[in-house]
Amino acid sequence: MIDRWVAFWDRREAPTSLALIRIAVGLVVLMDLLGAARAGAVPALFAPPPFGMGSGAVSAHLPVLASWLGASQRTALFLWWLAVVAAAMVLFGAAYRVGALALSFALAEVAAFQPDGDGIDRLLRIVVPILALSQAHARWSVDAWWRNRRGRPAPIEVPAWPRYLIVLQLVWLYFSAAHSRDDVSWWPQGGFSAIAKILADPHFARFAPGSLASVYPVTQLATAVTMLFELSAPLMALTLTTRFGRHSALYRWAQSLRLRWIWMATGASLHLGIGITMQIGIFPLGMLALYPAFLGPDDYARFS
Amino acid sequence: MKESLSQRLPAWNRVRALLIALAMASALIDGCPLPTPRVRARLPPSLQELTDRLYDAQQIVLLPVQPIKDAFSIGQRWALFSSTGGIRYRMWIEASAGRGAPWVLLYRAKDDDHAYMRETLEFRRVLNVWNPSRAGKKTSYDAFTSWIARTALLSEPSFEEVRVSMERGHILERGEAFVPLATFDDVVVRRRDEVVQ
Repeated sequence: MIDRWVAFWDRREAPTSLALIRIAVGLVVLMDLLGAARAGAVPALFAPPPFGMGSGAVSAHLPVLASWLGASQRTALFLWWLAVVAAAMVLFGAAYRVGALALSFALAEVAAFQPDGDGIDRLLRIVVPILALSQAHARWSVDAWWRNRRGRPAPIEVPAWPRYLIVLQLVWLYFSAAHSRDDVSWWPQGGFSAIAKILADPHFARFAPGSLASVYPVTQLATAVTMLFELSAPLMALTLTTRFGRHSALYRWAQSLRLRWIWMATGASLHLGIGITMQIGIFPLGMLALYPAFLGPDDYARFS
Repeated sequence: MKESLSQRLPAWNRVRALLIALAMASALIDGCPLPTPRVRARLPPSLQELTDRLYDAQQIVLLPVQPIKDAFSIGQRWALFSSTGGIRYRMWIEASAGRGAPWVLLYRAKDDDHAYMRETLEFRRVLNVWNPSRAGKKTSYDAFTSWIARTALLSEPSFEEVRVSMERGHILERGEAFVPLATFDDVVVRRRDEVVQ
């Protein structure tokens, strides 16, 4: 058992999925940071009151940068620039390890200066350090190009464990989100009315509250599908393991119905639906940026 | 005798597998679906006590990883859109020329006629600061009120005060509308001498 556990986490595979995640995550974080500047929220987000709304900059436990450089608008701007440069380094895979570690630090500092983030911020604070430990820069990166140029090509196969951990994190996020919903409107006894209510919430709705009430049955269906999708996430994790359980009845049944693809398409559709109808920033894109983790080497072989 | 796979692998691989196992165990304990405060309130006293003990046990078990959790502000309880019903809110930002002068509505969520600094206020990181969670107002809400008051007062010298408030509302069962209840929570008034030095 221990041997199998060690062997599982020691598997290697082509870096395609990790490279795609690296690029997508770098892009989403960069877009978010540039979006903050475009919206006029920088440096206010991280600056101490009354110059900004960064309550963490004056809290009892100061962020590292605030204790080094002092809490000021200049420090807030420095944090933003640090995150932008690090995100760009991750996106392009340039000095990747340094960039990814710097981005991990910057995202933690962003949370320390501005504690009121949302789920996607927390998820990225978990995923980016995992990516930093991976060899996601072994393909489609400045680093790989540079190594090739110097006659030391990047490895063809890299450790797969970072991708597995990202899969487990996504699966747990969905499952946890489902079983943490104690509001009755997400469940049958509440008429699956949750999404209709969110779409009427002035703080979340992209369109005028109530404007989508005419499609109430569609929102009910979306709510039910969301719960089914999230609650079934652990089962999908089982079907993703290509060696363990390959001969099991469950695996064969899931394969024959192409359940994994249906599940992924459902997830992508839900996130796109959220992105179109709700005002929640980068959450849908941030989640979709991690979806390449669901694709293993076999899948790319099939595509090619 | 055939050498086992783990014996053939370098020691680091075993250490890594152990660390991953510990990380996964910590994550599962951290994300354990213990009753939320709202559910706990509906439980009989004996189960409430059990819930409290489980939370205490969870904290003790997670003690070794707490510094990592704190440093990265991470956790594995993902309450996404967990609360959709009940009282919801709509933020108002108003300004006034001084005591007794009428309040002028500058911004109200989803109100095209009062859209002062809408792009900034509705940017997701700023929205996260003022949008109340199920636990109430956010940590940075007071800092937000100081900042928006300072910004508004600097841009309009005739104003002397800024008021930020959350209008209570109820969402109809089928999501037909947000119905204001004409009462306000988290009302904060900032005067010029407080925020403009």
